[in-house]
Amino acid sequence: MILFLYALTPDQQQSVVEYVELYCKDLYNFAYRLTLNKTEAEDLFQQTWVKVVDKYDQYKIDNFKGWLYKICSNQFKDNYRKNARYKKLVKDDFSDSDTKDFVINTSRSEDSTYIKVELRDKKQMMLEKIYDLPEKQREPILMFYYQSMKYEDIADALSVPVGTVRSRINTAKKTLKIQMEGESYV
Amino acid sequence: MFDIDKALDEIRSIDVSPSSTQIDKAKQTVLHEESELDARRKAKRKRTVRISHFLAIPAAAAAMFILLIRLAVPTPVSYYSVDINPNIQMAVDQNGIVCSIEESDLEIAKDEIVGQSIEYAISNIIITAQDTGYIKDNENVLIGCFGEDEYNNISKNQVRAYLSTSLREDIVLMSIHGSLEEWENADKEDMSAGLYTLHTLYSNMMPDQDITLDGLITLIENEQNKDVQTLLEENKEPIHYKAPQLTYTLDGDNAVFAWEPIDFKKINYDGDITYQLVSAESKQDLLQNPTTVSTHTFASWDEQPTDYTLAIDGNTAGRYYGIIAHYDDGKRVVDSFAEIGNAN
Repeated sequence: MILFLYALTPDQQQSVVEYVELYCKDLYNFAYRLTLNKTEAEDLFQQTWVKVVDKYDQYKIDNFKGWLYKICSNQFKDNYRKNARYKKLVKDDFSDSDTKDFVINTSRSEDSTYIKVELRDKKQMMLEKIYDLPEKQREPILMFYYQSMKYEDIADALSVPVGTVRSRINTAKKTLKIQMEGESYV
Repeated sequence: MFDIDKALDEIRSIDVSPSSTQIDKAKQTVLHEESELDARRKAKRKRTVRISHFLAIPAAAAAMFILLIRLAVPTPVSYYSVDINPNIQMAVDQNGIVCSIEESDLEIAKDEIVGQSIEYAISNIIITAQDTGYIKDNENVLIGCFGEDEYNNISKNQVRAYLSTSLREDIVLMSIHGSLEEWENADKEDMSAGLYTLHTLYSNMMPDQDITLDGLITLIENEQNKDVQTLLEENKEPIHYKAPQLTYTLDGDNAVFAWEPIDFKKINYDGDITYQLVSAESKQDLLQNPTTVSTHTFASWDEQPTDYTLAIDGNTAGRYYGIIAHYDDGKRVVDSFAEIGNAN
């Protein structure tokens, strides 16, 4: 029996390599805007391409870029959940907050693959709030601010009128503003 | 007050680029590294598959050989040219997706073309040509399609569907089909493949590298005494009309009819179509005196309906069923039927 090493056919490999060339900058920008950290952006960027290879058989040929962003966004959420679990473990094991911070910071500096533990920066907190938004508001705000898409392109991607995109983004911003002020980010 | 606009605008203004190392690493992931999932699959297979030592070496060598051959095979199966003046040429894979585009005078973002369906890519080229002033009223646009018969089809109506109504009226969209050999000959002559093929098919003059599409059309129409659109229509492959092959399965009190989608490009059909699911008391009546069960109208490039569920009762049992495919030139075709017996 012959065992093939690759999930992708050579044609698919060629296509994906071309997609790497086409979308590497956009994807990296998206990863950086999500993580706000070079090392983590690089990790997320690479993890996304690994997922693309693994899931390529599920890709329907219509909008590769949108699919790519979705994979990246899901991967970011997975990483974030892992961090949250790690954070909880640290919290459970160390009652003293100074000791906890020391452990977290040490882990971060010593392990290059280690993904962010605390979302202390206001932009990271804002992103956390964005991910808590209803899907109808979350998608357009991610597309506009994190993926730099135009209103018209978002409207096309979501199959809604441009006016609806604008109103959903405005509603999302109002919600985020209230929530961020509730977190004392003023 | 938290300034949400400022915070979000700061995010949007971030502009960073991956290093070349990061890009190369991503390509390596695609080309050479096993994905995590494959590694797991492979590990699982290794536990269950036994290959004797005598077979293992030839098998591994064969695997490497096939892998190398497959990696070396280029992806394009067909080539397309679009002549608006300027001319644009593209390579397309077996799924009808543009793999690459040649440099052209028309400035267009590569991601508007590469990775898109050929019809969508051509519509983007036409829209960009209009935006940049290349298209005026009644502009001729010639699409050249080159490759094996099954891969050199284009749906002009799908291209039109992507355009605005006014732009649709501003252009005369024509298509011409040829072989890979013609594509290569045109390349040797340093001509656009569409222009070259149009030239060699309909003009007695020697191909002229400097001729424009409008100039060539005038030349041919003077020589042939016919307009080019008519000539191209006459030279078109005929439509091989087909209707879906109907099958059904019983699911409780329902009959689930199913049929395979038809590749309309392969049968040279480009337009609207209606599937009429009909029933009749006899096979002969299916076409002559049918009762309509349901109808589905769609464009040949759209997603096609492929099933229909019918409740079986006293009115629907004991009859013959078929799908009549109505083409927009009036042709009606029925290919197969299903007979649902009485419940008893």
